[in-house]
Amino acid sequence: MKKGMPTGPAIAFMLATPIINPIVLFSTYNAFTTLPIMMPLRAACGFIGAVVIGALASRYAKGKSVLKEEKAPACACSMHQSGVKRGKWETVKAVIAHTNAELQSVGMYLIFGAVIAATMQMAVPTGVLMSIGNGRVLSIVVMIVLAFVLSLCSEADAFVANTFILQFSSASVLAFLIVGPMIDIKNTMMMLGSFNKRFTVRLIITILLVCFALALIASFFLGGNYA
Amino acid sequence: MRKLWMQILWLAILLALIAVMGSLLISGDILVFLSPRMVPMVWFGFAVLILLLVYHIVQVIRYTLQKTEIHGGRPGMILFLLPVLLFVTVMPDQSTSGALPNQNLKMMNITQEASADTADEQVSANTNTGEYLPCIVENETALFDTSADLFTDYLYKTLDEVLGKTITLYGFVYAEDTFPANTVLVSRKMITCCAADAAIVGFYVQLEDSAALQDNEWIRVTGTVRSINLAYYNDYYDFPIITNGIVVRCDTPEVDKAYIYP
Repeated sequence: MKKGMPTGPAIAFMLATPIINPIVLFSTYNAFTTLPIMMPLRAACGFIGAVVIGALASRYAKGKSVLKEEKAPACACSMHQSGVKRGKWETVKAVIAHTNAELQSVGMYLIFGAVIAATMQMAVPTGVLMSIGNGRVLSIVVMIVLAFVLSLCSEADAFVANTFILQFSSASVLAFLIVGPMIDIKNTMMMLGSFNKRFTVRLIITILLVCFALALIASFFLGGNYA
Repeated sequence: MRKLWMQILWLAILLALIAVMGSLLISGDILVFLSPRMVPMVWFGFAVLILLLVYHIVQVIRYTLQKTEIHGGRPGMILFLLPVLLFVTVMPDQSTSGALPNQNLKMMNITQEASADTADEQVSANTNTGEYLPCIVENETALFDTSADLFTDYLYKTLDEVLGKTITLYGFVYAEDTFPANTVLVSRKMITCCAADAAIVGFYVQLEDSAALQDNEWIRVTGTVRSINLAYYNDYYDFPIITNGIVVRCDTPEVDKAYIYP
């Protein structure tokens, strides 16, 4: 985005990448051997959700930058200027300088988000949440909340989600699989570090609503016993 | 002067992170937090941190001697010392069920198909209170190996595939109030990717007197697999349970044998 990519495609890329990649899709396929439709569904809903949310993010941005204003340049490299010729060694030094700067700026939010995520995992009584997850709508809501609180990485969340398949509907498990990679506690902290607060809040609400809608539509096709 | 102190602080942070990461990687304790397949990525991160340390040392020297420009350094950097502090103070180990996310047990290997061979009688296992034995025995002659891989194998089998078979497993004792009387779980911590998804998985074991065993005590169990019908949230399912077996206390195995990484 700093190099000029519009907000919409950048957000769509950010949301789609954790879901639509070979490693995640393969692990989903391995985890749901008794429900093979889950892998293509996850890919399809992840794709559709990312495109829709990206389009909506474009409207929120209204052509303005949604990035947080930085008071000073993060590094001393020349990589931000176009048309500047640089040698290979200069490029290598610039990459290292960028890495250093990015680690300092992003790492703080990642650590803080990890602390909050770990606290929530220990403190939130997930058993209570799971015991109230009846009904078509409530089960989806509960799984979305679980996905946000547990903050699992998208490679492993399929195996965790598979263990919920007996208590929850397939559609609510699908909601868990598409919300988790898009937004969780750690991602929220990192977004607050990069985007302005207003845009971040609107984006998170949009992600949750779009994913809820996709899971609700899927629930009418996947079936299941609802209280 | 403040700028120099910020850069020295960042140097110290990089050194501390390298020390922690290196210690975990070289000792193998990284497997307490990560699945083995993620470890190469940590080695890559470790190499990058060393590269950044060298780069930063050069930058600080040049700034001190030649007053060249230097950027970066934020007061919030002190947050990077939090993982280091946690490593020093609350390092978890493989021997207990503690430090796990507040998730439910991962109850696998259950089916709604009724089994004809249910454990109606209170068949119990003897509890050997003798000396501690190693959990892993070379050239084990039991029907099934005691390796962590086969523990995982049992978890993914259906009940019918293991019913009636004699198996040997090792794990730590875990019990909840909702378990039937004198029944514990011989269990392991399972990590799919990292500690965030860690869970307890295991098999029910019926004992003569479960009070003879303490939570987190490592045991080896050899017994026959039966089935037991138990409530699990809003429904009833058949679970495998090891009955009529031998339970032996054993030493805590090394971390690569204690955890399960499916």
